[in-house]
Amino acid sequence: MVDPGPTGRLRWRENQSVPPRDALAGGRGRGPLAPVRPTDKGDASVRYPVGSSSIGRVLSLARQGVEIGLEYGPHSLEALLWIAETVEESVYEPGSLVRDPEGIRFTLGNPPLRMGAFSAFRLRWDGRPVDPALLRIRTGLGGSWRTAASVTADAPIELLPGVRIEVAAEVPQGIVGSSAVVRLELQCPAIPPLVWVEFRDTLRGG
Amino acid sequence: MASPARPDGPAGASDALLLRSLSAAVLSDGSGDVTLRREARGAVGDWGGVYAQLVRLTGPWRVHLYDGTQGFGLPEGRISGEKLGDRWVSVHRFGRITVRQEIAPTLRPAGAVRRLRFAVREGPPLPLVVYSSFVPYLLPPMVEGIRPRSFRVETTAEGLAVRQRGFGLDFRSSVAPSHLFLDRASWLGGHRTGPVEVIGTDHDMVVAPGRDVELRCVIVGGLERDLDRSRPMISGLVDDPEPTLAGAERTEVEWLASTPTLRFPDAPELERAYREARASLRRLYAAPDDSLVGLAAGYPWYSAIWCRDLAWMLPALLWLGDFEWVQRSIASVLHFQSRSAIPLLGGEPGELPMQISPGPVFLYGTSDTTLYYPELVARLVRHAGDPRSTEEWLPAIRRIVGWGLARTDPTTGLLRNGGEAEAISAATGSLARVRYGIDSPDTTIWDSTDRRDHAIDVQVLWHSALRSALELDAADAPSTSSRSLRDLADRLAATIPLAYRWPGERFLYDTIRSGRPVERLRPNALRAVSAGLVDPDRSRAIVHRAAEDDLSTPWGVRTLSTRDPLYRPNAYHDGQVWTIATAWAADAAFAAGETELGVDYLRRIAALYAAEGGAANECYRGDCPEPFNSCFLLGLSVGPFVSVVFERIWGLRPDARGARLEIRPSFPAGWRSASLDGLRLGPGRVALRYEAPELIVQWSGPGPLEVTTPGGTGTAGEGREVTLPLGRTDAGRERP
Repeated sequence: MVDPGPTGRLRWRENQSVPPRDALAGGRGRGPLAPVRPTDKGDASVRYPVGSSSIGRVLSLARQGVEIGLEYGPHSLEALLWIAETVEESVYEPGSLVRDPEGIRFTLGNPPLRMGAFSAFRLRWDGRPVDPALLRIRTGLGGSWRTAASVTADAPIELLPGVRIEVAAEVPQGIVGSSAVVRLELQCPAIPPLVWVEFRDTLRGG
Repeated sequence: MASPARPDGPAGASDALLLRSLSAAVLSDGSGDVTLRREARGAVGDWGGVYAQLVRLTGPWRVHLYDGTQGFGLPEGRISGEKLGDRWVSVHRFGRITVRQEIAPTLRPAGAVRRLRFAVREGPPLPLVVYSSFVPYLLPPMVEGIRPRSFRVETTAEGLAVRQRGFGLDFRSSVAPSHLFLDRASWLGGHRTGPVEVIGTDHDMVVAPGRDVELRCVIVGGLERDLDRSRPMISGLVDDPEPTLAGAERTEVEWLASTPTLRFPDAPELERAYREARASLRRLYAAPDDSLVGLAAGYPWYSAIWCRDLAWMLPALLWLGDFEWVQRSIASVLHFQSRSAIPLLGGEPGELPMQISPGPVFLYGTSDTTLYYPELVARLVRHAGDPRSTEEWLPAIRRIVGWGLARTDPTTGLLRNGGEAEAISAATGSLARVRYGIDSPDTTIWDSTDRRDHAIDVQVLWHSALRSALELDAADAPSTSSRSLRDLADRLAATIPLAYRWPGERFLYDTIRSGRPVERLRPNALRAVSAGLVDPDRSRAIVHRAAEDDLSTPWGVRTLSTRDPLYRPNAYHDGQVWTIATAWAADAAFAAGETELGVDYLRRIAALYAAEGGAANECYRGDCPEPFNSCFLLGLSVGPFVSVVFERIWGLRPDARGARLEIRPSFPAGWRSASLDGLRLGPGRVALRYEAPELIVQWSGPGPLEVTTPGGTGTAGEGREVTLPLGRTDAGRERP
């Protein structure tokens, strides 16, 4: 027989005053208690350019937006923005571009668009290619660093959704407070077209 | 009984478990948890989770038990597992505790229910903590590499609400949790906005002999606005999910009963393969919300309505008699036809979307998707017979023709493909602080390889679109008058066999670029044979060339010859074996009169279905029969198989408007009998019984049905059947 006692809609309590269950914390499926990170929306320094030279483009965009909204309903514009914003905020971690004594580093929260095993991992700093031997990557929390030069078809780097990617490069150019254009290019042997992400941000002090 | 689960087994193993309703899916490996480790793009990730309204609600959803001294994950104690329709039932044992678990997708609200019933047979009452944890996702899988980083999690009066922009999920349980956890840290509830990796809940229960207890957990969601509307129904689902689940199961049974039955006594493996392909197609049916109907392209990562893939499935649905679903699917796609230039989304006037998801979210930018739809509409009329139902689509067909004309080279008449993705990138380049992209120069069905400027299969589609527009009387003066469309179609029909002729290989070139043919041997050329655009002798030569072992393998047909310098066995479109390419080869072989070869290709596909639980993978390595970078179920791998069975083996050409049916089967020489029952044609159904050398036809519809076979013509109906000599059953013929 099934006990009818605990079934049914029970009210979920807010503000439950229950301490962490340390006794359970070491059980299967639970690691150490993770620190709670604050919301980390940074403020990338570069904004969408709206100047006299780009007014035509802005008007074109406005026209396209109106067309989409009129033809397919206001929800369509809204939903397209959900996707665009999610992708934009989920790849490069805003504000993570930092200069330290060894060079620069930044973080991605996800692979650029596509997951997979990548046989090449290249970086361009303000348009100049960075020597793969001076470019290092690590994935996940506390993973080990490897150089981009070690990334090959036989020893690819695996990038998975939601897994952080830290990138560090020995780049002499760029001082704290200046801005730089960073472009990452990745090659996946399973699907050859180049996958890339490019952003401009202000270098912060490490 | 399902095979033993291998949660950490080899990537790509066909132990994927898909439970689905029309609006939701659960992906698992059958281990007992909602997890599915699977290789994609060369890397192994976890695709397990709850998907609803074509939105991935969660990543892995796990359950652990704690009896006060020890903890167990459900998979550890699994002693049995069985798929019953779209429910997964597994039994697990941990010491004195037996757990019977049932997982099933729901329809409205869309999501999944997980029932856990705990029992002990003897001893004192046992306190138990059940820990449920899931990874929030909340994004359509269209962006396969991205998991959102920030969520809003909130405790409500009845459960947990998780939101990510306009996407949302609600978690409810029949037993309120004693503790909540965010990222494995205890959480007091309220609301939290920010990065969240795992959401967990503890449920305290006491199990005693003779007093089983049950925990029901529900995760539903998709679009937040729909979730808000369906909130009152969630409570009923938690209290008693059975009526909802049983209702969905009845719908499945009724659908199956409405589809044709095939018998091939001389080829039982093909008969079985038809049943399996039919069932797999049904598993892709998707009605994520009230306005959107179609079929998901595949699982796990193509679980959206991709309009090209849909176009390859809908002909099969017509043969299965589901005219209504075809009509609603076409209407869904045509609704999103671009009426003007929308460079932001890659849309040109008249273009049909590459993909649509609830939201709505839609994108354009392929060179071939638009071209499929005139023929689909024409096919619907041929099967259903009522042109009035499609008249409202004629303006859309005209816009499609206009789209094609705008891309047509005035000198050659060939349609240009390529540059679509670059155009989107250029249009969106300045919009975002972070730019990203995939440098695909071209977007044909093999969209990861460069087949610019005039891929042969795109020309065949363009020809078919023009012919279908004429058939539908969609011509529109002056630029698209019947005469001008007919002239262009005739010109294409003359150009394709000449301009693409590749004497050195006795084949057809893959594409023409900058006026020069590109010497690349791909199965796409076979589409010209299927379309009847190549003369019989050359058709046979092309089919035989494709059957050589640089293109064909025992497990299917490669996307590129092994002799090509570009060939790599693990390249998606430059060497891997695709099941749809095998179906093309079968179709072309029948068209060229090579019946035994056609049946042989179909048997290769049937062998895949048999080995993979009724579905064929999207693709396999080119050098061994191993799935790689492959959806375990793809509509492209099942729809064309069904169509070839009806159109080639049975050789059926319906004309419901004229109450006519032409039957020109391609039965192999040794076949002595076959039957087909329940074929829907207009307002009635047809039954065919082949007993060599005759064919007996029954017709249930109003009025007479004129039946033509190679051996003669007769009339069935009005209470009588007609028997006709079949004549030759292995003659080649062009596509209907």
